[in-house]
Amino acid sequence: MTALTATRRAAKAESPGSSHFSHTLTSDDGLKLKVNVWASTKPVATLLYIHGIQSHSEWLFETGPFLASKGINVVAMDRRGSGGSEGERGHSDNADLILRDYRLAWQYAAQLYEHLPFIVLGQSFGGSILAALACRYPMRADAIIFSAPALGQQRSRHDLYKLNQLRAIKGQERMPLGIRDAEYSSDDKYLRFIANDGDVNRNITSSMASCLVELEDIYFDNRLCLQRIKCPVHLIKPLHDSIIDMRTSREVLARHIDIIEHEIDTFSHYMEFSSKRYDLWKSIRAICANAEVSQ
Amino acid sequence: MKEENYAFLEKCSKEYLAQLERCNDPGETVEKVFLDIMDQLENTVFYHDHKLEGVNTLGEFKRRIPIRSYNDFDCYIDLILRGAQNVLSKSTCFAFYKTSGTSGKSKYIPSTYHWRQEYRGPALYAQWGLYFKLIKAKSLAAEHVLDISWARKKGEPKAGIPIYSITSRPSTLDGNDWNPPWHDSNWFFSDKDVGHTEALVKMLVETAINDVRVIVSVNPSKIVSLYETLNSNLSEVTHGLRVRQANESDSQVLSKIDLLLERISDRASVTLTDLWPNLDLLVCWRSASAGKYIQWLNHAAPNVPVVPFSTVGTEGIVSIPVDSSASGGALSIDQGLYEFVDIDSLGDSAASLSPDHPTLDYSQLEVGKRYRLVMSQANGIYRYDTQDVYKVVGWVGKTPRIDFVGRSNVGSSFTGEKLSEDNIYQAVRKTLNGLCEKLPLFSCIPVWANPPHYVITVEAGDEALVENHAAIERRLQEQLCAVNEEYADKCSSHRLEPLKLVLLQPGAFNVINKINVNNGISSAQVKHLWIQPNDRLLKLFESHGLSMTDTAEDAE
Repeated sequence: MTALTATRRAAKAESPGSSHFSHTLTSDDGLKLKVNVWASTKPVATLLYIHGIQSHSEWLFETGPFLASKGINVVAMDRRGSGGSEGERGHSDNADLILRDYRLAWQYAAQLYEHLPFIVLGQSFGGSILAALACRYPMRADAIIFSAPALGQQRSRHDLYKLNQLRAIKGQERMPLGIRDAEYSSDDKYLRFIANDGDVNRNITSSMASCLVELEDIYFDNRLCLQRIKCPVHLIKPLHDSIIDMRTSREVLARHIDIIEHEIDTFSHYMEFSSKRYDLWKSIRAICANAEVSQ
Repeated sequence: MKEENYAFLEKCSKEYLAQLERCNDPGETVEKVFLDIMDQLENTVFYHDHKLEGVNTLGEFKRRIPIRSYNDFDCYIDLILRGAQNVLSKSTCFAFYKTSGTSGKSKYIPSTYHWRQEYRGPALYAQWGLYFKLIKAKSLAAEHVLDISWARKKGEPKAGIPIYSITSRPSTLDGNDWNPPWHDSNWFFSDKDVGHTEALVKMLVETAINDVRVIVSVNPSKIVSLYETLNSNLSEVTHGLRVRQANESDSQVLSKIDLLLERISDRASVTLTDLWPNLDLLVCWRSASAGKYIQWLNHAAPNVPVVPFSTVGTEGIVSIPVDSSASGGALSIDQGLYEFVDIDSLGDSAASLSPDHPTLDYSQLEVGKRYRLVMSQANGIYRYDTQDVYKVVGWVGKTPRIDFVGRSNVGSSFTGEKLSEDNIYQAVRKTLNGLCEKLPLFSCIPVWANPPHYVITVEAGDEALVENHAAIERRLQEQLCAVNEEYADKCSSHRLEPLKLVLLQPGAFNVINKINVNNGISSAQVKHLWIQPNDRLLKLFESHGLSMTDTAEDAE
């Protein structure tokens, strides 16, 4: 039994009122994509969770069971090349493939509990995917949550020349992501988890680096589409985020849509692995529980 | 697979050059390591136990901390296992490395973020910088490397902390930890592999059409095993390639498979250079018992130079190769604090060092002399008596060039004969030289009786061995007496019985290795011992029908 499974089993034991199962979706180009579902025995809402660049759905080993035990079904698909999904690690040929995969996950999660309010959350890089998805494939959602989202980050970090270079260079050359684990958590328990996670993405390919820009291009070039989002949009952020320029992320959203802001009293980018994780979970639960099924 | 990794090459080259520079001015590095170790120690349980407050010189450090065996660390390891923090160092201990247990019980060595990022990672970049320099790599694709020096495997947890061997880890860490471009390659050994042979065959099929230029392993036995697996599973490898051919649409890949199949089909045996014609370099240990594999390596990859892997134990790196010298890397002065004890000054070289035994520093060593190593590393192992013996073979700048000789407490001695691995190797080589086409695999097994004796087990791939059994047995005894006078003396005084020769089915050692791997021993930890610690192996050969000689009496 690995540390990961041991921790997950412990988390499940603490979470009566929920069950866990996994499902496989097949992408348009034939990849098997793993979906983890933490299902509540008395569900009041369903949450689709889009994970970040380095993580994968197993990082929800506590978040999933906790929210499920509080009535929120949690559905999380591993991005192609991440976690238990197939595909070259840390790679996608282009952004469109990622969006098409998540459209599948969105449809799967939304129909799983059709009568319940359906909420989509994008964490970090997952926030960028969520914004692009909302522009490219408008689909039903009763609330949207951006959690420490990486929105407009490529534009805030790079000049036009570099952005064009990133767009142009495709390939499988690998580059380290360069994110320090200490920026995810300062807790030994979670650091140990990350250090021993064989599925953590430490590197991405140059094509994937290109995807980061392409996704931004979608919601910058079609920014008015964001105004089509009719459901409440929430922004949950830590007090300070050492990975994300949160002011830029906020601006990307606030310029076009009304957002409801929540601040969690932590300095960890990955709030799920901070001492304030219960505050985060309570915020997510409250948003989900108060969401109403759109007509 | 054709992507080039200039940034990675540059990092390796930079660390390699920095390593060379440190060799020229080691004093400053030693001071830096000392200060860092003190910083890691600050306010830990160990720090308070040893009253280290105010210690700011290496001399004081040595006075406050006695030389220790592993057992002296047991209480601290237990504390970490009970969930305590800041026990041996302030950096998070995220796993334990378990030793292979060549002597004594298994040991758990803490692995911390700080140690991996600031010490081990840079050392690996420096080491690989040399290899890339030797193959004159100006650009590098992941396909140019076959790295079998580690496996991506998760460890079994103990009290929530994973335990794995030094050559296994699930992933790289962030920062300066070793993160090569082939980190995510699908040919790596991983948890998904079902068996040792199957994993090697899969690796061969995955990499066969790569332009491999360097193979890197810690232990030479792994490279020999790769070669032997290739030849004993040639039909599986070609079948795997044909399956790839059937599923492949890329014309370049298809033509490479065609060419390869043409090259290796219908061959009785295939060398690693037949598979990878541009193979320029093999990397693996060459010192002590590992050096005895060289002739097998020459068979596996004719005319390919072999340079050493760093001398690395579970507790830390001790020497790093800095040039193409066959053996003897430079003391890795930036990896820890190293102290030495002249082996000739010890009455009983196998006994533990006394806690206050005087030690020498690197600058006091003499070429030609052998020393026992006492080591401190920033992972939390301080003034540890490694019982490893090194010989100084020269200098790299102002840093000693050292060769691993062996462990001071390994070998065999029933009645003081102190049989070494080298004794056995010499006796077998001299006996079988000219009799067999190539030296077969063998091992010496001590069999306790009254009087005790040794059994030399030899794989009998060659008919000549079977035909000349009695004569070879006699000759082996003569040769062993010639290389070890004590042994001869003990035999003549009947304190030892003459040795016995037991012939084995060809491939017998490989069968036992597979059994060990199947029983949960990491494949990277399966080592060939030229002298066994006990007669367990003999019983295994017997119980698995691998012995061609009746050993029932011997194993009594």
